[in-house]
Amino acid sequence: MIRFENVYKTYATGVEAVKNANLEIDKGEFAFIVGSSGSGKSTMIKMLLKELEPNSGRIYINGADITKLPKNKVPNLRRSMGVVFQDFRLLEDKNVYENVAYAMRVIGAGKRAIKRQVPNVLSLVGLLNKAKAYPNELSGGEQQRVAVARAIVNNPVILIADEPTGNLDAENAWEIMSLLNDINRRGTTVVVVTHAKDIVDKMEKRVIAIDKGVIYSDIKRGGYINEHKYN
Amino acid sequence: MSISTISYWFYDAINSMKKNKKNIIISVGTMVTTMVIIAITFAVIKNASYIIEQRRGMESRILACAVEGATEEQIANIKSQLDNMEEVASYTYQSSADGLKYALEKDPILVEGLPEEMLADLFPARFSISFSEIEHEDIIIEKLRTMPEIGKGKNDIVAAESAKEAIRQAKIYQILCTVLLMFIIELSVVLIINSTKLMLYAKRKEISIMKYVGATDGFIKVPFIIESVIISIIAVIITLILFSAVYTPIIETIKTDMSFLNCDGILGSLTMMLLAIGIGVGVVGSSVSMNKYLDV
Repeated sequence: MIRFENVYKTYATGVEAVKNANLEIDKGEFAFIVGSSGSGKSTMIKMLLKELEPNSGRIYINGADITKLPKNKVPNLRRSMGVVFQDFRLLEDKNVYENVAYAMRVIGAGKRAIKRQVPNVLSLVGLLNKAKAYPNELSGGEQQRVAVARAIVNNPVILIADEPTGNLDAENAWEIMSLLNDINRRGTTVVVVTHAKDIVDKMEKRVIAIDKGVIYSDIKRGGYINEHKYN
Repeated sequence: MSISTISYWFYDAINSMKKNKKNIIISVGTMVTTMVIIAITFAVIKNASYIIEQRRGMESRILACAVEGATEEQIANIKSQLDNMEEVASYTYQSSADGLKYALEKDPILVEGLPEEMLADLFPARFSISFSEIEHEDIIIEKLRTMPEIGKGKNDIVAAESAKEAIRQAKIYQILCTVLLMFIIELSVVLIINSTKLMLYAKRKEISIMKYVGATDGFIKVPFIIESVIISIIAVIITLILFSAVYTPIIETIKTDMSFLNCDGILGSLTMMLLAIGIGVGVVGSSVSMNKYLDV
């Protein structure tokens, strides 16, 4: 499903963000990528989303090398993936329903399909009763649930969450992780970038640890790896 | 592309305009200001063209005097040569005696008491030559100068009602205003791009979100382009209202003294031009300004 082969990424500033990353995440897996700030985990996600290009190496999604993907095909790649960010990134002038529907509109879905699918997804994330609310009328946890709903509305094969609980309290954080777990149980591959140790320990999923751009640990069912272990 | 996508683009553009009233007012204001200047410059160009056309259409005349004491034979020669000049539309001949007679009838005091030899000098035999093409003036004068029967004095060949100078001045105004118009259009492109940039800067986060959910550049651009086109159309309408409210009454008032000015048909061509400029600048401006924010 996702494969990194000898991937290197060095920024123009000279910072080596990712060094020789080799990694494979199978279909239907739930994987955490953990590490401290600046360890390179977000760079890996940005490369997956084609926001950044690796300096060398190959990245495969569903067997296709995305490093060779032309710019005009990037929207198609992103439509196959749902993305959740730490800062929610909701459209402030659109209500909950419209925010979720927007992800369907951009892929050219018809009105009927949108009317059928959006309430289903809102119901799944427990926000059907807040469909008409605007982001500024919602709590952090609710906003993140809208972001999750938007990420899964097109039934993506991969769901990527970059620090999804970073702006949430413990209770809301756990709710979001449970939601992501539910989505994974339905067959979606879920990749969560985080440094929330307690959540990683509690979930007992695959944990890929990265430090200073190097993947130093990959445990199939484990807890948070000491971020300084590599040193 | 489905109808629901197109209707969504319009809905999104109008919704965004409602929510960004302040930016929209600034954008419309900027466009109206530049468009009013464009309209005024355009009116000057149109009037200059009108003057040129009007003057070109007028029949012009050259007065040519025969040499002092010209004989019947010499006069006949001149007539024959004028008959053969294809540039000449028509001509009239006034003998020295007819000229004197006309002067005496018109203003007897003017010639009273003057000796006969002097009167002959004052009213030489002359030809009034008409032509319709302004370009023929120089050719006719040149040909007249080569005729030995025509006087060689400074005032013997005179372009009596020449449109040449008026056309020359009108052309200068036309060129200057065209250059000014180009400059203003360029300036308006810069102003509109800048105001679009401000609008886009406020929406940069929204654009990056759209990119992350898989929107194509085209899908993101269209509502912004629709917004720019709507703003342009509003600006064109306001400009035309302002212009017709001010220009037409002013021209109508001063037309009696300045008959060369014209306001017929100017609004039609002005509307077309402003719409073309407004929509063109709106589409190009918003597309160009957006590229920076689409690189996510």
